[in-house]
Amino acid sequence: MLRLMRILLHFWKAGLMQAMEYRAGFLIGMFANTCDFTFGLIQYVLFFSAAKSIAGWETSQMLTLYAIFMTMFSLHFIFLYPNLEAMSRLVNRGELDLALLKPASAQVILSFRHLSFDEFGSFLASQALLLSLLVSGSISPSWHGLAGFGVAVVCGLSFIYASFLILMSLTIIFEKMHNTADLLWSLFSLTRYPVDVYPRWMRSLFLAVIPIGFISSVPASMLTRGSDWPVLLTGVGLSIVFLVLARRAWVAALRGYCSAGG
Amino acid sequence: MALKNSLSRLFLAHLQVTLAYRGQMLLWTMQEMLIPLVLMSAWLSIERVEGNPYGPGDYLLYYLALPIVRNLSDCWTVHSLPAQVREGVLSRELLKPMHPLWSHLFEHLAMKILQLGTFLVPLSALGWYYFDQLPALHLSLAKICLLGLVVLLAMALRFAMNTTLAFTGFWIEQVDSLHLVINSAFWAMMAGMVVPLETLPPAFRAVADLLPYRYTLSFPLEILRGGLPGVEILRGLLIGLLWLALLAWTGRGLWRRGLREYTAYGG
Repeated sequence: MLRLMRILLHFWKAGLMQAMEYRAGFLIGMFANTCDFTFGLIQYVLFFSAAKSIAGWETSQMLTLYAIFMTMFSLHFIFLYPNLEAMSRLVNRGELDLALLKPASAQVILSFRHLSFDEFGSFLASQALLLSLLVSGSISPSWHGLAGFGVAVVCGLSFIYASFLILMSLTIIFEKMHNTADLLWSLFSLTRYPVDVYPRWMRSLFLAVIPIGFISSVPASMLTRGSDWPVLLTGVGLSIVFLVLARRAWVAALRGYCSAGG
Repeated sequence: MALKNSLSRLFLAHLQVTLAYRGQMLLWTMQEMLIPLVLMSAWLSIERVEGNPYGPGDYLLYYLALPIVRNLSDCWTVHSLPAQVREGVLSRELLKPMHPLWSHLFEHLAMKILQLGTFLVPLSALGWYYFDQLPALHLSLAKICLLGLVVLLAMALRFAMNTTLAFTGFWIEQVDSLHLVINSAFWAMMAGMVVPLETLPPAFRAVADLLPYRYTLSFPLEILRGGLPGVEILRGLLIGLLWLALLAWTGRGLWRRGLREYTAYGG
């Protein structure tokens, strides 16, 4: 485990050095994403010039949701997105063979090898927003709520990683899938607003079958409304199921993979 | 005549290329539909503030029609043109006996026409399902013609906006970042994607009225709903056309100067 971590750190260091090579581009990219984050935030504020509440969620609760949504989105963009984008190239050019031959877990290396630094500005801005909501007293979570928030975030991240790994496996199986990274992005579109805005059957689907609700709604609800243990337990159970399914899909994909050259 | 022949063949070729990637097109349609439908759900579940002129039926109509206008006015030259400049592909395009923009224009038209079909099926089904809740549209021939005109304006204006921005790719590498700042979340806010402009405070609306973004999305939707008086429509048309002329003029200037700067490496 430590060895894998060390290998990844080397990859990330090399990636950061490469990105810093084009200093102006690096800084402009971060600045542009922070601007985008700010306009996104203003949109939520504008929303409340026409609405008192959205499905029972008020301004501070919606801002909490936005901060958590952007945290999850930027984390996925920094760590996973560039690797999913690289995958179809690896498969089509036969470069995957080379990665599989290396004496380290192919799943870990292929999942986290590349980093994208563009969304780093959004990540910092969303942490600043969450912190300011906590410090200003707009949200005052209990200890139970904070613990529930931690569990919900882990469930959300596990679900995102499981979906990512399933898409990586599909890229290997179908060879010519270019839009996989966009499919993951679509998943996030559904989590921009609380699951309470959807009809009842969809809400149940997003909380108890495909746990999209754990990406932003449940963590935000834990912070602003307190913990809800039955929901959390379902989330933990579903995360484990999805991680196991994703791992199986990955193993099956690699077993069926026949090289394209290289 | 020769040019007309080449252009029609170019259009047919782009139609065929787009049809070759049918699966990708369907996937794209699904993604494009997702955000408006999420926004529709969000707006249908709000508790309205007093003075908000939109009822549930208005929100339904707005977000059912929005994907169509957004699809028709969408433009991606801001990604494809700078890539052509960087990779030197533009050199090959410049050798052809027609302006390189024709190819981009027809690529957009082919994609939009074919995609419109994939959009209309699910949207019509939703419209039929919610028919009782939709407000009366009072469609007359004059209104349909006017709608066609403002949608054309939206298409031309967004094409001019993004293509002018794309031409900065002759000098700078970070066109995508520039696009993100002035055309992404900012566009979504000022064009009425997230919040219908008619429901915003008057001061904000006054600013939105003067910027070009409104005329690329919200304006046709406002006319469809029927809430705009004739004078407002005329004023909107005028502002939109002025922006179109200004952007086209700037774009033309940038293209000419850019070509002098352009040193192809590759192709």
